[in-house]
Amino acid sequence: MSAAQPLLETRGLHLSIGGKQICRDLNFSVQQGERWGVLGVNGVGKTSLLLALAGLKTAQAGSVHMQGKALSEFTGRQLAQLCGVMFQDSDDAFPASVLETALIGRHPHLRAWEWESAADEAIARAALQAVGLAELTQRTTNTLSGGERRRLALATLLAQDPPLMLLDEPVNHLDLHHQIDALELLTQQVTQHGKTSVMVLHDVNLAARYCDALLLLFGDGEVLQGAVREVLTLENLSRLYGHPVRSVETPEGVLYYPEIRKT
Amino acid sequence: MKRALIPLFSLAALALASGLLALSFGSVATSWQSVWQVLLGNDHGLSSDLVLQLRLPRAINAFTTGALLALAGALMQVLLRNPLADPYVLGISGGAAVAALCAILLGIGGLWLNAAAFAGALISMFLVFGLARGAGAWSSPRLLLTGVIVAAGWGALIGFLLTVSPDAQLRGMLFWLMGDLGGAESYGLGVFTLVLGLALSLPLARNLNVMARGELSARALGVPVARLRLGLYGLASLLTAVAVMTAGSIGFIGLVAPHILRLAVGNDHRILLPGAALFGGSLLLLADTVARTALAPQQLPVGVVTALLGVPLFLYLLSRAERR
Repeated sequence: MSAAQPLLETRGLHLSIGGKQICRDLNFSVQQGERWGVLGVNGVGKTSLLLALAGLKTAQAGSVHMQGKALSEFTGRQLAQLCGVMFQDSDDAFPASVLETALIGRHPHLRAWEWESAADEAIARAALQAVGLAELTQRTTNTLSGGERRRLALATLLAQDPPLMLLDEPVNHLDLHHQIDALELLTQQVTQHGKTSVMVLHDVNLAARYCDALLLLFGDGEVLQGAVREVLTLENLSRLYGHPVRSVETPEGVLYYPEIRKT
Repeated sequence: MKRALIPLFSLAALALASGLLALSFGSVATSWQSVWQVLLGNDHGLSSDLVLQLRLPRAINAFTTGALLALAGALMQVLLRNPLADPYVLGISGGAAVAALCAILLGIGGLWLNAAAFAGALISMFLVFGLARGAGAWSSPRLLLTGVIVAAGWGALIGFLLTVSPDAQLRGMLFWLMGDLGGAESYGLGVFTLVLGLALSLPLARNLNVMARGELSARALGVPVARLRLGLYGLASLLTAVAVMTAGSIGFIGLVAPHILRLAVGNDHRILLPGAALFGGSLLLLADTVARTALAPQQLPVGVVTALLGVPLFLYLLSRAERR
């Protein structure tokens, strides 16, 4: 793999939004088969960075490349076959059935006049099965709970079946067991199906467990990147979240927790 | 693909039935069998003249106008990602109406009246488009709000024009404002525009499905959103302008035909776009038949009929959908 081009790469990326610097001269590369996590406090620009990686937000300077090719050289459809995004919220102005929504993920694989084939439908149904929504295929999206919507968004991304998955808070609104299920599912996609993922996460313990490498956004353009073991130090975490962070050894690995303020 | 056939065939059958009904009813009732014989070319008598010269052009105009409005409405709803949007909400027909009333007031008639209406629709479109774009992004709420405000402005101008107009012209103006299918003689432009509109929008139908889920996710799925929005706005405005030119301002069809279909067959635009055209056309055809015959020999403005028939139907469907 070392000879191959990185799947995703930024070269000298400068990104700022509303006068706030998110990253400065960021050189970041993701190899196929890696699971990256993006951590930082609210409003530090995690979502904006993810959008820039997907080519949905223009950077002030620098460029994003996929498989060695600048994003501007791809057509929208080619890019959508290579990279898929799971967004934080979905739009329900026009409710559709759960199955129809998952089938939307097949869009980049179909020609203008083409209708979804039986194979496409099988892919969408398998994706819904994987996230535990197989029973709800005929429900309309506006009757779903917040957690069910998140799982549907994940199923839509699985149906899109891109080699690179960019996920914005994929386990937001999910119950604990669904959080674990979703992250196990994504890990399985990476280890068994050769996918690659970059996800924005809120929970540092989930990130420690389900990511191989992390990108820490400190604000003011300062970014730290590296393998989970290298960057997840108490010092870095305390600085990242602006609050002292401690850790405890458990049989399942190190757990991080915020120091409780004494009153 | 297969699931598109049943709704579309049903709607085509409805359109055909509405057509036969429109051709049989009138001051001289003609049985649908003899209408059929006339259409097949087996009858060349008096009823042939009546059906082919008088009723057929009007029926074609009614159908195409309804289809144009419904298709324009369906496109605008995706553009604004709001199922309650239609060309009238965006002020396009208001601009056309003001221009047409000015023309009537100046004593201009015929083809130039139509040209004025068309120009008014386009000016209104550029106005809304330009103001809504402003300096920032072209957000849907801003566009919708701008359209509503511009429409309110046109409404005030219409009131002003009606007040200062001499009595002799008021009646014609009112008929024009409420929509009237009696005036148009040729139907070539309407039919051509409808075919063009369908030919341009149908290949984009799946893109519209994706865009209805949100613009950012549509871009992430490879839909060229900026180009698509511009094309949708232009096409919907053109369809509206031609509809207004043909029959004056008929509200309601552009809003209700797509909406009823969304409740009945769902939001897949590959079915919805052709379906809305067939359904909107049938609806206006039936409404015009009622307008011609209900109080005969007096003719009602067809816009009054569409509102009287459509409002309760719409409210009923809405309440049923809420309960489900």
